[in-house]
Amino acid sequence: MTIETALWWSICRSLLVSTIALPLAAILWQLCSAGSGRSIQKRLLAFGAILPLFVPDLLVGFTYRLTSTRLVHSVAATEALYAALLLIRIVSLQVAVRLVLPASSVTIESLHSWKMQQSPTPGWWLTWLRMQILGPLRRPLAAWLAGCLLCFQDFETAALLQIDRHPIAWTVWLFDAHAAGEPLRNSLRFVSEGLILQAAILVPAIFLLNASQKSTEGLNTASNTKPNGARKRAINVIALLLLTGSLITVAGWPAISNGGSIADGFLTLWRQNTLQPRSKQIAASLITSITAAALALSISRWLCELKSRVLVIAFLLPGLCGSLFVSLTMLAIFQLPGVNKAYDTWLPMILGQSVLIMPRAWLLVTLLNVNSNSGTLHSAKLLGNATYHKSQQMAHAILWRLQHRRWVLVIAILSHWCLWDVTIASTLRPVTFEPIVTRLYNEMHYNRTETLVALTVLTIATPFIAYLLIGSVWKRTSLLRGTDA
Amino acid sequence: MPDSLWNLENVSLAGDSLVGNSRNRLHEISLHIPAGVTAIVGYSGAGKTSLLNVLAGMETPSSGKVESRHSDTRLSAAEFSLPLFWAPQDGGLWPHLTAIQHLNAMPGCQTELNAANSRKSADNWLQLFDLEHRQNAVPRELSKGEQARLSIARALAANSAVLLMDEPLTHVDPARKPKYWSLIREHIMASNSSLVFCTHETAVVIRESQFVICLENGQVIHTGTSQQLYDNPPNVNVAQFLGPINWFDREASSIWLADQISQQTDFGLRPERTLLIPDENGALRILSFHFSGSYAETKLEHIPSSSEKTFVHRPSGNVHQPGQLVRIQVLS
Repeated sequence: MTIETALWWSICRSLLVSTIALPLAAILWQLCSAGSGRSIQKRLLAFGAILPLFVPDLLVGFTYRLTSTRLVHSVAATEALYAALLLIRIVSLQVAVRLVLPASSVTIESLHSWKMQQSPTPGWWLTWLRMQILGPLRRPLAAWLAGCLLCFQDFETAALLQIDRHPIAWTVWLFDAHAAGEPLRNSLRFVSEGLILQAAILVPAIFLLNASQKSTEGLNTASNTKPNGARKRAINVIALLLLTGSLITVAGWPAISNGGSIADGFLTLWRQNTLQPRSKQIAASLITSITAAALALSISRWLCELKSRVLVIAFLLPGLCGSLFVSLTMLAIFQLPGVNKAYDTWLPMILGQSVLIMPRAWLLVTLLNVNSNSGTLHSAKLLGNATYHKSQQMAHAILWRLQHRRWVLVIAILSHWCLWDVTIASTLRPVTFEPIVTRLYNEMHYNRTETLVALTVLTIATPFIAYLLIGSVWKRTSLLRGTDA
Repeated sequence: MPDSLWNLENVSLAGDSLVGNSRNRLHEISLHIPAGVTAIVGYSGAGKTSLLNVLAGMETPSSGKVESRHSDTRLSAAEFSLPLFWAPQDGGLWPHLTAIQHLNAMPGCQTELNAANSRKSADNWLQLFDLEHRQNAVPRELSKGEQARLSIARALAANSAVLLMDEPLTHVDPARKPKYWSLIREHIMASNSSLVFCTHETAVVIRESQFVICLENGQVIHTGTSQQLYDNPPNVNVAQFLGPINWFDREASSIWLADQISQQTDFGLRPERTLLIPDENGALRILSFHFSGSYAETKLEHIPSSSEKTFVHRPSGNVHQPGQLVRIQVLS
């Protein structure tokens, strides 16, 4: 099979999955954003809807690898399984895009005002199309493009499910070719072919993001398109079924099917005296991922203040091309004379992770900026100058709640993505260090299911506990600062 | 209280390129803001909010120097709990706190160590701003008008030496605005604090402020006392910031006012100083007449020269008809 064949399979799958995901994401989004205010119920629904996006590919791929083995004789069934798993993630992504994309400046009123003009001028349809793209079509279009991109770039799920030749994915083809000794120059040439196709998705996606940033309206809900009565109830039932099905597939079933091995896995680790070295591995990987996340976040904050859009796009583009492109490019860069001294260090891995998550970091910072009311924050900062301790403490508590807590959450989300990315970890890690995600893949490769499950639980739990600690220390420091001032 | 709250020297504030605005929002402003009540006026987009944001420290100027002398009061005046607080245009309320919690967070509501007294003070503010029935509502549950009132109540409860208010009470019903303005006025006078606010309401500027700053296209075009700007504005452009005015140069004065005022320079007459008197021998003919409540607007023709001009004047009680002959009387 050639790279071109693999590319065509990937393109067709991306278009199909992202298109099918579109109506499903729309009804799920309706469910998450219906009604007024921000009730706990709405928050839980939104959390559930975007949770599949954060479930590690390794966990899902490993759980369904056995199913894929059973389906090895049926190309259609293997492809359908892979597409279904992708579909759940893409629906989740599209809901997230719809939830976080700020309201359009093209309102229903502006569209109606345009419609009211009696005599359309020549070329009116161009304006009409532009208004539709920036107005009602903007959110679904952005969601569809993001879905296409994520689907096209997927590597890990495809690699885990591929028993024979299927599912065919260009990323797996490329990685296999590179692992089989294909020269880096050839690998980069193959990457560039994929890059051209991704550019076709990226250019309109950046255009839409660009248009979003001009909006100052904040988060939007589905209120304008909310159906009523029996239809609404039916849609809500479908959405709830969809949500339940997705969560069972990517979180519930992996937890149930592997949960029984957790105790045995920890016992094995304990007996083999590997619990301590593995914990150190997790801690080191976590520190690396937090460093990469903090770096990406700092650069993104700087990018958000930049006036040059070209420079912003230049910083975001490599990450948008996926982890395979980033890792191979970094590999090539750190082999160049002058920088090759840093080849076998932590630097390439940290930089690679930062570059990969840069677009996501930029998006999160932009969203935080759009959704943070600067007047509200500044009111709290002014209150912090009070001569009364209680008012100072109150000001710092408000700032923690409205600002600092969000930054901790952003770092947690970004470092989660860094921690679980196997492509960059396995390609750019220093020789003396094995990131935990690579260790997990090795455990899976050698079929050590029990220790794999135990380590996976530990890898999920450690950051969770770490962020809770970081958060509480940060909060406490803020409050103490308020008392001391 | 120092004589000066802020001194600004050549302060510029760059435009927000992210929203497609590349021109400076403030352009080389040099300004002295005195203690007392200062109003910032100007048309939409003139830079009023940008100037308040710079004064509040929310935005940092791209160039120039801002000297905040109001912070001296923090050290010198023990009666103030805060050097500065504000009520931004959107209220700047904290989304997770109820109305009563907003006020309880303020130093002005904590002067008593007794918790019960503290609560009473917050309750007072709620009562004064007609919000007692909304004390447990969070901002998203309040109407725009209620949010505006809570924002002002919170600002007053801050007990700060200087208050900044960006278009206060904009969304509040006009009938109750004077009541809330009198609360603001009483608080400022009783606490001997200062207020800097921006508004589009000329009546509020005239009634509430002692000093006025006029902005246009990010530049200061006039500063002075409110009385001075009302009575003797330097030009028609600035004069209109404080409401309608009839503007005359020497030639126009002799035609329309028949030399009732002998002034060498251009000057303005507010409507309350101008009256139309029916006069069968008058040289002016009414072309159209519109009654606007506190003043009337009449389009006149000067018959000998066939020139036309629109006048704002005090309503005389007479119904003026088009074609009627009149003369203008200037009241002292």
